[in-house]
Amino acid sequence: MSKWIIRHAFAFVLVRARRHPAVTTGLAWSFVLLIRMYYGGEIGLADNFDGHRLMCQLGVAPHPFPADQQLWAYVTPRYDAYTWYGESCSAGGTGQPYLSSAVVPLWIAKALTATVGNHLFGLPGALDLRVLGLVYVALAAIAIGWCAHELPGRLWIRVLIASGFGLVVADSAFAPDFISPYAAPAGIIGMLFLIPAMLRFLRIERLTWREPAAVVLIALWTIAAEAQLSTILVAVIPCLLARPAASLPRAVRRVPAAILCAGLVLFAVGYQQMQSRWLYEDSLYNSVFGEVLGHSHNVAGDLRSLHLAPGLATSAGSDIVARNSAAVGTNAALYPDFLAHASYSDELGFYAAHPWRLLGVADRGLDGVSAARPDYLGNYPAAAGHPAYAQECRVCVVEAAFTLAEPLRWFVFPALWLGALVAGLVLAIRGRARPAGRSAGGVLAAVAAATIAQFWFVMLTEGDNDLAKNMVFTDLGTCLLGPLLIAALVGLDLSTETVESPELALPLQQPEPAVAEAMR
Amino acid sequence: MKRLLAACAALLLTSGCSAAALSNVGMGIGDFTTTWTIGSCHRLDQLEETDPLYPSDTSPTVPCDTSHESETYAVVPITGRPAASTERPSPVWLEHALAGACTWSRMSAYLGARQIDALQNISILQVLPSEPEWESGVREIRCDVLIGPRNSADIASTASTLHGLLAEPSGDRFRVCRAYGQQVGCDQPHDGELINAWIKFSNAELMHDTKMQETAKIFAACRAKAVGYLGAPMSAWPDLVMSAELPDTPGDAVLKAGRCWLGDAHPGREWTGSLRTDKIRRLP
Repeated sequence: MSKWIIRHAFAFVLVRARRHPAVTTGLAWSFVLLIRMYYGGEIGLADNFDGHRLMCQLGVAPHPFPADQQLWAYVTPRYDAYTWYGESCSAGGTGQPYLSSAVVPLWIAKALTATVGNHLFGLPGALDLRVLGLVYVALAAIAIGWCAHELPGRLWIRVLIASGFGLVVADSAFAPDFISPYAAPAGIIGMLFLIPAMLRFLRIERLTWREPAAVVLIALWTIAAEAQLSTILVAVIPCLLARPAASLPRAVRRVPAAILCAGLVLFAVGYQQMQSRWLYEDSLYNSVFGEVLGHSHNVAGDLRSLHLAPGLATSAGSDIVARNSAAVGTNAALYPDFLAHASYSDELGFYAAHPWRLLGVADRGLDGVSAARPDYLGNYPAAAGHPAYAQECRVCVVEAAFTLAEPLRWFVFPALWLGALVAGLVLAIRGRARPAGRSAGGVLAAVAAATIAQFWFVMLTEGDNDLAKNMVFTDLGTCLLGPLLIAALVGLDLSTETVESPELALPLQQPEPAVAEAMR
Repeated sequence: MKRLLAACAALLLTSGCSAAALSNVGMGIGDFTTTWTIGSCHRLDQLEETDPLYPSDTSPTVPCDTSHESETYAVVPITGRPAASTERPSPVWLEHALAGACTWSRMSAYLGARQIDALQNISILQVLPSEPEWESGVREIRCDVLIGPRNSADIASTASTLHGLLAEPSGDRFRVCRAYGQQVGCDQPHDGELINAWIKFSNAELMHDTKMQETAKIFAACRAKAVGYLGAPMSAWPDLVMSAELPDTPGDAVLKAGRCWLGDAHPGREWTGSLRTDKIRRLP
């Protein structure tokens, strides 16, 4: 009897799973991610003090931890209720807020901690990052399931490629971010959701308002996660412009897309403008004193090129709080002038005049990409009994692969990015008449372009400061290229077949009535 | 589609109605107004609230007989180059530019301490105007005395005013004593008490003087200081002896000074409370 029940239950699940492959894939990956995040003790990322600017907006403060515990050595997931007044909750105390879409999952996590967390799991705090991890796991699982729905190819191929995205997210280079007080996981989720949204937008024959709305909303979310993610516009704008509105007269077909793109650009510019002066100052300091002057053989000449006072030379290579910092050291009198005159446009002008210096910048950047994750932030709570700063390695394929690639970084990463960009464009153009080809190829090219843009954005705005952490989106984009390349090849294969409808590329989906009629 | 448009319109309308409320989105609560009253007490329970990167404090004051961490002892004007800026300058630069604006001597006077008193777990917190205050022309520094220790595990607080505290035995926790070589507050059992006197040594003295000579120099300098510290000749304490802490490394400016401690002539015997009170306190 029990065998009969098990056999029929299994058959029932199998049938349901085949009918709803996206849901099944999402559920399966939520299970995998839960195991990966929590089985054997939760993992996460320690707070390097950057967490405050985001967490304080939730009305919480970190639970005290032993004074002799080394800084940043352990994950501290518990936060207690606390009332912050005025600028004590702001980006670096500058009187300006730190705005990020990451606050939304945090609000959800706070509500869940107060209910499910307190009563079901016995979590005592006002907000527990372990609950935030559940929120991000759910979001990641939905994105992976949606990918399985939108990718080209047969069912098993779609599930396989979507699982590739799942593996990337589950990797130790990215998964610990889900239990952290940073904005990065919101960006990771945004990038993940952009893939199915763009696949659908580029694939579907008759666009409704939903497809562009989905792409735009996800793009807004992602841009608003972290300032450096404005680079996803490099991926999104060409995609939006690639699909003219067929129902409009030929002359104005691209106008709606152009308006959406203009709106996105305005939003990104506005978001950059709203960044706190302190964050801008810190980044500018790092890019000038850390990157340009810190790796210079002619500091005096470089200062002249940057139109800065020669007296600042002694601060070359420093960070803003160092003893020889221009802000606090003997050069402090010159610092207001530095802030008044230094700018990113001058820095770009410097690199335009000294293009060979970009080779060094690229080398340090590629080194940062190879590092895959910051080694100065612990991954375990102190109670787990691991040594200080212990790095978890439940799924550390990315770190291992990137470490192996490090000696060949000048070949591996540029070849991957440029290869994916060219391959994506070629596949999209070759298969432009067919939805599966153009969508997968287009998204591959778009993600490759955004990854390259992200790499240079980080290097030119932050320099070599905290690269292993700042390169998280470059690393993520790089990893997503693998499954996307397979998807593009599958799309090309499908686009060479004689297909009448894009729905034929999705064998388990119920065709539209009109399509079903045509098929008959 | 219509429903989406309606929802957008509703959102815009709502946000328009509450634009003022949205102006402080992502920030702490309150009206960003600093309390500039001398003698006011402040609750600053988190490390960020006293981090120089977060230079303002607009939290409401609390009664000084309730738990608090800082107390305002002076308000001084911001002058010179920092004051000229129309927007509040970089917090890192301001910290450097305004260093020393709130003086230790004024704080000591507020606490009821004298220059000769060695203090621990007491520091100066310079509170600056909030950004809106700065833009409206406020150029003042609130000088707070901040008590410690402050670390990730423990934020020390007090439920009584700090004004004149060092003149009372209840201020002994802020005086520097030692027990078995470890620094403790004088409210703890201890076998030595520090006098705030730094006897400086030149590099030449450190290179050539013997330890005996260094000790003799410290004793010579400390004898008068000890009388000033105790408020009476040392002969009033038959069991009290002076010990010298010799200077350490020649390269370090702080360690190039010697210090003197008062201790019991009987090794291992401890006492609690400071010797530095209005009345002569006997050793046990």
